[in-house]
Amino acid sequence: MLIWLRVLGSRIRGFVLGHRADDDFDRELQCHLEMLAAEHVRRGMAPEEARRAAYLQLGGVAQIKESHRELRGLPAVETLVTDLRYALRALRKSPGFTAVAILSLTLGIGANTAIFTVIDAVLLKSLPVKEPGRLAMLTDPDKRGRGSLYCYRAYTELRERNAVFSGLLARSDWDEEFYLSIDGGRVERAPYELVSGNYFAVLGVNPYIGRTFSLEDDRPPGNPVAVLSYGYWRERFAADRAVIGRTIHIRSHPFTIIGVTPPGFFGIQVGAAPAIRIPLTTAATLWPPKKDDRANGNYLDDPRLNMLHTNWLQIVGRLHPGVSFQQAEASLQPLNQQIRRQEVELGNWEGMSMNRSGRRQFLERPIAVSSAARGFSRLRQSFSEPLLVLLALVGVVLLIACSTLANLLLARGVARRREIAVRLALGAGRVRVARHMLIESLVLACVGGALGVLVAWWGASALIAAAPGVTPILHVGPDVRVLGFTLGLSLLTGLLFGLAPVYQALQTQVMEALKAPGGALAGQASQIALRKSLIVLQVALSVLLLAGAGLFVRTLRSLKSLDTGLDLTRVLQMSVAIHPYSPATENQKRQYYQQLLDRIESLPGVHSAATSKSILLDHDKYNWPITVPGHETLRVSTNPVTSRFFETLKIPLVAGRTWSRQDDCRPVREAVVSESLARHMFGDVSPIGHRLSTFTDRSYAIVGVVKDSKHHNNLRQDDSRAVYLSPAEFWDGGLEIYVRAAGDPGKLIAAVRREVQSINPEAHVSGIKTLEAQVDELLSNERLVARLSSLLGLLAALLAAIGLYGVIAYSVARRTREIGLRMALGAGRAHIQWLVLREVLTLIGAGVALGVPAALAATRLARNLLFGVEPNDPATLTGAALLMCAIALLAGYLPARRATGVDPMVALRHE
Amino acid sequence: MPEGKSEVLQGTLDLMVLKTLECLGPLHGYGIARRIEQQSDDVLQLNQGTIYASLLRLQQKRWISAAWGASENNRKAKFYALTRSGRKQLQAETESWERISGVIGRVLGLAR
Repeated sequence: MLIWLRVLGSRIRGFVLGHRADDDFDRELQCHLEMLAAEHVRRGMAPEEARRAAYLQLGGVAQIKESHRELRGLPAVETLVTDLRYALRALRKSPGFTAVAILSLTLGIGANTAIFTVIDAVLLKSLPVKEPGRLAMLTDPDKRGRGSLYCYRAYTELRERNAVFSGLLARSDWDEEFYLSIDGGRVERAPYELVSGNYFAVLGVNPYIGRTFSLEDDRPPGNPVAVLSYGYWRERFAADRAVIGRTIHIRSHPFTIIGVTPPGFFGIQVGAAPAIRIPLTTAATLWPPKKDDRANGNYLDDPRLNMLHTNWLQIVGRLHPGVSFQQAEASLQPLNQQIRRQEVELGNWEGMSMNRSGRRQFLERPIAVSSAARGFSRLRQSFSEPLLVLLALVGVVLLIACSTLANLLLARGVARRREIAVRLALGAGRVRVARHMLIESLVLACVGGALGVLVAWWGASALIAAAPGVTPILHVGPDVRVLGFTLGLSLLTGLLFGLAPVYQALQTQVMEALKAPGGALAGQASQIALRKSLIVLQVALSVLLLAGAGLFVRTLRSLKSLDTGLDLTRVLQMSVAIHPYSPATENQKRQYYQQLLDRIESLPGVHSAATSKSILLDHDKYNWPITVPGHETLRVSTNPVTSRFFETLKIPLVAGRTWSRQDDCRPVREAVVSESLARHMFGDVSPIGHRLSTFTDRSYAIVGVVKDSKHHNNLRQDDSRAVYLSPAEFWDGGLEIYVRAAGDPGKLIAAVRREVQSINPEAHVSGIKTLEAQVDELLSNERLVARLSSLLGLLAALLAAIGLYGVIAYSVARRTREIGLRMALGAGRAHIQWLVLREVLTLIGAGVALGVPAALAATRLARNLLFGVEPNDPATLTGAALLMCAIALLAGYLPARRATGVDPMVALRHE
Repeated sequence: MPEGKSEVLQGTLDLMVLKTLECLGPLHGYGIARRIEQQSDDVLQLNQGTIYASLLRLQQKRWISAAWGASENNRKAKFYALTRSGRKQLQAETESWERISGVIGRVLGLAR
């Protein structure tokens, strides 16, 4: 092997330094000849004769040099370079063709790479941590690979008593932002995450600067220290190394910054980028237990640490060497059962009642161990189907681009038949000629691929930007994997469309081609058939894309016109928080919000205003357990709101009443429920006068019923069960404010913002936008798919039309003589047109006949993405087929018309 | 094939070149070719140019090294010399040659 390497090494050297060795060898041979000649002279030959004899004895000098040169360098590479040069020259000679080819390849490959980049980031890539393959997530058996939540107690028990993990970490699964202030400065927001003390140790992540957490930091009550992410450190602190030791106030509690995580590390939740990490146990400090005046029960914002059944932690472990996922799972079962029994015995149920079957289910639920190499991701669930559909769409477009190129190359090949025939006649091997053609295709594909990477770089960012809630978070850019994908795709593409002209070149009959008059037009029947079948394929694929686009557009339309139960027009939405550093009491906060509502309502052009604890049409953070005596506890969207909330969003009251403006300030405990919750809990009985309770033993009197409305960000989900609580004790933290305007709500933004800060200059307002804009954001996924698929569908149809035009025009040109003859014999224009159109119609008909069943099969795969329309919707399919026919007929009509313009005399004299 | 003369197999030529360099020390291409012809009593009629392909092959394997120097009658010539790994290779090849020719000889009934 070593020898082989030596030879290769010296050959590469020879390849690079080729010319110097040529001279050297020349001199050596010259030397040899002289010595040989001198020998002959010594034996008595005449000098002239001796030289001749020497040449004879040495053998052909040119051949010796040639074989020496070949042996010295890398002949294969040298031929390749020659071929490449030839290909580049050939492409330069037809700049129009080259430009079209590269453009369509750039778009095709670029679009594929862009989608792949995002798919790779969301679905495929492993976490950037040490040995991600050894990380395992603990979940319920039906949530393998997706993640379940556990309570703090379960986590610590599992951590201390398992025998299969070298370390078990936990993180809070909230995906929320803190209101915080740095060194006592202005209020700002940043996403955060609570993590166990061994979090960084288990993941094998070392600090970029400073230190990360130790188990000591996480020992209750928890060390108030914070680790920043690299991105946050750079953006907020301008990468200042002196950041260590500075203070962040979170919910009025000071936390000391101790370190920064390395670049590229984002945690174990793909698509989330917590800026700040603090130890788990500090939760007890941040959400301290508040004593209730009536019962000593826990408050809603309880320190979740000592609450047994509040599941808020994701658990990930690193397996001991040699332990498999199955072994770990089996070994954890007894421990899991023990922990669950203890929890039931300890019996703190968060004020929930649990019936017997619920308890049995809880006790019997096993624990599953699955790979956490790719981390957790919400994106994966919501984003993966649209992404795969988009990948399929751009894949089809690339296929169409390939067949268009194959068609163009075939047409070019016909024009180049003479050239090829001449080369064959001059002794070029067919293989060599075929290789030339293939190299040309590959050059085109690689140039397209290289430019495609640039397109993809931009495209992937645009795609991410268009996805809701992921905007700043997911890091995508071309890396080795993406570049590898692009290279592979480019080569595959080049091979795919390059095979047709290669086939053509191999078929060339030298004599015929050289004899053929004009050379260009004498295509063979088999080539025409090939080109026609490519057209049929294009038409079929275009029908498929157009049908898909139609379905997505209709889905978007039906989602847009969906009745949310809210009046979205003229409503402004914003989040308002008072400085977390200020020692404002809850009473002061209430006063602040009351004053703010009053001031906003007195602004000109404002109809009404209200606060709401949760953001409407966002992912629901407030699914609280609601208990009605005699019923099982239900997790329901629960929202404390002020009195004018229903008026502001125009949610009609069906029965009973809501609370009054005065009640907003009083410690009144009243609830309004939605119609569907009332129906679910009480059947036909009126719920008014009944009581419901949440979290603690605190109970609320149900005073009214309102119409159902949507509150979840997934508009397709049927989620109309809801409870609205009077706001009496919910002034803590940030609140959402909704304002109904009499006119354009956008014009109120500046005034409202002024009011927020005029009462309290430290107050923080964020996310001001109209509710319509919020809904628009929700539909960005659907809009993206609808727009992209329409665009791609039209592009595909256009490419197919161009291809069709090309083939028909060529066919007309080929038949000029025949047409001229027919006209001379008295055929009318209509007849001639029909002659050509018949060919067009056959192609379109075959394409549509193939495309419709293909669309029927393919659209079924996208069923989950559709809403308000069936995948086999006949109207959409018919529309797609008709649109394709119209575009294609137009493309076919032009050459048909030209055919009638043939002058019989000219045609017959042609050649 | 003309009677009394043999075509030289590629590998055999390489082996002979190595042997020549072992016997005579550093030598130029012409000298090596002459020596091989003489050694074989002019039975092996070399196309002398082919010696250079062999020399290049051996050089690429680093079994011989090359350097310009002055010949006996003060001409500039390229001299080839056996390297240490070339010497080792020659020994190994010589042994395997003897073994194989012995076997072939026995099979052909030439061994006396």
